[in-house]
Amino acid sequence: MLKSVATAGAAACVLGFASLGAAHAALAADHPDFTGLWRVQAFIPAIKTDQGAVPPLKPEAKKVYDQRIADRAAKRDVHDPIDACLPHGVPRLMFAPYPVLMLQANGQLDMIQEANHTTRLVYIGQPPVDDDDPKWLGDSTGRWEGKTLVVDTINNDHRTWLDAAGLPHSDDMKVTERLTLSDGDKVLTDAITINDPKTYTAPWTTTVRLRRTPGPLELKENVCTRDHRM
Amino acid sequence: MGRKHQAAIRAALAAVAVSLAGAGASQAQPAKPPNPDPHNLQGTWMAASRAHLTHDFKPHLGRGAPDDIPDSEITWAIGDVMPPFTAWGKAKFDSNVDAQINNRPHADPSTNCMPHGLPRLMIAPYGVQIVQTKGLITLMHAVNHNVRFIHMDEPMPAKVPITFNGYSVGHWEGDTLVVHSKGISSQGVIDQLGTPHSDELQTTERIRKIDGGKQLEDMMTFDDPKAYTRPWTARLIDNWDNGHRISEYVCEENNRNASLPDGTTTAR
Repeated sequence: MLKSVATAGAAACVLGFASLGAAHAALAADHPDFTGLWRVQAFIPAIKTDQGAVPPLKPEAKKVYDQRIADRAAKRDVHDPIDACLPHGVPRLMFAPYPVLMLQANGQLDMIQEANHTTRLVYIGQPPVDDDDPKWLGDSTGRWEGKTLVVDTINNDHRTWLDAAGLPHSDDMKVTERLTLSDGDKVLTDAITINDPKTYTAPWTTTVRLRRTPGPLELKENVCTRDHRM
Repeated sequence: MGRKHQAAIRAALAAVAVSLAGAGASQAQPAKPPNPDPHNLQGTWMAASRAHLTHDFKPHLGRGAPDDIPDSEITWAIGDVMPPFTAWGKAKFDSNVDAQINNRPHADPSTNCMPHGLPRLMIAPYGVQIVQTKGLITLMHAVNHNVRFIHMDEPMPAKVPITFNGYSVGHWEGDTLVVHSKGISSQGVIDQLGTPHSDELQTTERIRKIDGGKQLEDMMTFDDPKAYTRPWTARLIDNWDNGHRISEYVCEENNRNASLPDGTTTAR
């Protein structure tokens, strides 16, 4: 269906912008394909490190975290940004209770989380963005290490929460994820390392596993707006 | 663009001239020349400058319309100036245009951070990034991460959910991508001027690259017996955007265009 059209000008080969057919062939030969609909099997409200501990918060950050937990337990307004339809951010969108559609094509791994169709674009083989401008979904670049896709995300706006419990972070946080496929490509493992010396006393890692949802690739419409008046 | 550039994004609807390509230039993004492969639509596309119908269109309205009401970027059919409204369609259109002329514009979904919907995301001046994977073409609109899916080589289901972007099935006819869509929420409008449609709207698009891949031409036929006396076709053009990365746009943050209880907006 998607035919490669050979063109004499070879403009398609400039800067690695190969024709679609060739790109697909290269992808299949060398790297895993994360294209699919993925979700965590169970919602993870409070992430822990791989050692099972609460992440190593610095004292000021721990006060913020403890306050959020106390507010939620007392049913007070926690001011979770997703309650105002603001994005989950990285890495929270990966383990929220919504499917994540991943599309690997054209030199990118694009992730669309069903909640408000939050879109995260990972540019593979590109240098990090240098604009020092915080964004709700950060700026992500990726590189292959064998069959692992290593994704670095910087420029993460401090207003996102790392999880529903309310783990905080600063604008300087760097997130490094190592994505792999296993179990006959039915499981996607995301080893997430948080590096944020302003908020945590040391880098720490948490690992989440997403399962492939069988069936056609599609997302239901999901539109979250604070003001529904029309 | 992130927090430091929010002001530029906020003025978006009124400031069509804001060039996101300029913002992109601050990031070291490799330029990508147009790709002449007719079946590879991937990349970032930006709506071409709108045809201004000022001379034909505003006198046609017959109301001495001021110069700052938006031009219709879509409502010209080949050979026509105005689409063939039914009475219902004309009444809705007049209401929308009158509201703008009188400086009390009606809210439309985008005012409240809901999707622009079909067809507006195909012509909005923010950029659309297209990716193609097996059986699916995905169009990611820069505005508030609105995503449109075209399901390839599938029959149109008898019943589809009503969504802002509709349900689309597509197939290739040679070098032309033919797309049928229905189930488009009538909360949306066809263009910024407020050209209406009902929930009966079905569209057929014939999309192809032209000019060696420098442009994407979308001939879109609107078939909506409640709003129009016959189907009519508009020509939507997008320019290849040279590999520019679409920017982040989080509408819910500091939305200053929120609607008021009477259905108008705070935008003036």
